[in-house]
Amino acid sequence: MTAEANFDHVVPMLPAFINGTLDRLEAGQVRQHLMRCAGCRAELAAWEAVGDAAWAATEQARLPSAELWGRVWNEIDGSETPAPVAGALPRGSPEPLRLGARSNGAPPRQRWNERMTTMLRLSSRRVSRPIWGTVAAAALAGALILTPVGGYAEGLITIFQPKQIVAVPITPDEMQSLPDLADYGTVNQPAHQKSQRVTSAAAASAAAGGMKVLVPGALPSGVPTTATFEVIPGESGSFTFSSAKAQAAAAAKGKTLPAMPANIDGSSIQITTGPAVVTVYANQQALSQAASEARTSENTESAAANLGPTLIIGQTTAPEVKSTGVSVIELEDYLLAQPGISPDLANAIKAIGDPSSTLPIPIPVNKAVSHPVTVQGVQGLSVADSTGLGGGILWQKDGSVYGVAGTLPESQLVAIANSLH
Amino acid sequence: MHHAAAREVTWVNQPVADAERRVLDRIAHGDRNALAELYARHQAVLFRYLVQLTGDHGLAEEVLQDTLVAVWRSAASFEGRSTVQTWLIGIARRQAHNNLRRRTLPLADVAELEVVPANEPDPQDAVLASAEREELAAAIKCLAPVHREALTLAFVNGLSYREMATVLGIPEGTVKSRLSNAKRALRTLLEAAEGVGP
Repeated sequence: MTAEANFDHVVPMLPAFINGTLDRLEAGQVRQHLMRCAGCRAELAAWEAVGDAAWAATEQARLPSAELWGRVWNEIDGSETPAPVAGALPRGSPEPLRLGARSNGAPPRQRWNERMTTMLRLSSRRVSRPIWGTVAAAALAGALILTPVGGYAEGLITIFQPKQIVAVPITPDEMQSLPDLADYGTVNQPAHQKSQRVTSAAAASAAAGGMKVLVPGALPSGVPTTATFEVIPGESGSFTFSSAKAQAAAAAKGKTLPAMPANIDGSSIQITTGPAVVTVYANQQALSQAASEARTSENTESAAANLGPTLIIGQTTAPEVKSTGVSVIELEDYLLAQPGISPDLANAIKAIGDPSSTLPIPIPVNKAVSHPVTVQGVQGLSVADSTGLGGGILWQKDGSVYGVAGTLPESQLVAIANSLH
Repeated sequence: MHHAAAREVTWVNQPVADAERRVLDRIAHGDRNALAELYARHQAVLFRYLVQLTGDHGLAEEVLQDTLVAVWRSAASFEGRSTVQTWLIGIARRQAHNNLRRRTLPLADVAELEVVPANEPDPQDAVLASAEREELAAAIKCLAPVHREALTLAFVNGLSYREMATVLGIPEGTVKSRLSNAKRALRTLLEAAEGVGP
């Protein structure tokens, strides 16, 4: 049935209108009808409420258990022997993939907006900031959740220097309820230094203190071949724990906290991030236009559509955290016991293993999926936008953290990552 | 009305669809990483669909496991006549049927053949628009599985009427009837809860 066949009203078309599966002509007809029919607009409101609730009804669905993946391979292996394939992982080796709940209050139509957001984030500085912001946030969270320590005093020891990267699934609720670390002490961060944009790898290397700036051996067709290089200076900051401040902040919120151990109170940690270089291969004009349209946007999809294949490559020296005293384990135990850290999240972080050498990357379970991949001979992390439109690969090697992201299939991103030289 | 422009970006999805077909091809050749990739991409919507369909988390996991095993064994049979998601949901649904047959979960709506989908706006549907989201979500969980499934396919999985018709094995007209019936049933549940209505 089309809107024309039922010219007077468009009631049966409304679910498909809402989920965006009508073709352009039908959608236009429905839109026009809605402009002049209050009855159908009321029906639209009813259907939107139903659609929203249908999402909400699945929100409590927990993720499939981590054991499911192993059971799948057990069943497959127990019943057949598939031909071995080069590159295939050994039995059961792909780790459980976590993905799930949609954020509260998000109506179904937001999937398209989220897609747009993803597209735009995979571009220019809007891309680089979130990506490296995530790394920095992870480092900080890793440091603060997994570490602490002593400011500028003597005897600074390195307590955190990532050697590998792992995903920590985090739900929207957990994200929102995370304790505000500013309540636990004082952050001392020097003034933010400006980044600079250059047009060659050599200039980027020079601006980044001689860092070897890697470039891909080959680009997939469709990806612009000219790149811009953004050089972000390294930064250093410290955090000093204060039991009195933590208790006061908690009291102001009507909460009580577990007592801060005496050796943590007053101790501080120093966090240092090295310079970072972010290389962007994108249609700059389309990028600016898409970003501009996204701000004003009723028609963000067409802007995203014009963006075309986009590739971002980032590299930075691994962040480092130093301390004068408290051990990583002591800090981990204390911080994970704070209100707002769910038992699931605490268990996920504790399960990381050696927290002093692992960079945890928070993966919002409603927005992204992740699984381990092998890249440049080491284990990295593949993170994909849950709509499948974009993704990225993160890995750590020889003291540096690398990332390759873009609106490209994972296989191409891995190939690009492996071609970096 | 920004939600209506979705189809305009269909071409953006095309490379993804092509890539997924290649993933299925790799699965057909025994590449385990490829099954992991497919799972990563579709795990959430498949699981949500199955939890809604079965109404039981543990059962949904069982069926999801059966589904992945079936995909491993039958990836070569994917002919590209539907999207990969639609194909996967179809497999999941068949696995659920196999599993649920002995549990007598009704997945057909015996009444819908007699009911023509409502073409006219119904003022009583205002109760849906004004209901609290949580209240509506709770009511959806009380719907008959056949209605819950239709709403999930449309609004969680985002399938078109044609894709829903393929998955459910019914004509597109019946898809519309089923959605219409689901909405009516939902309204009845709300009205009953509020002590008004029929």
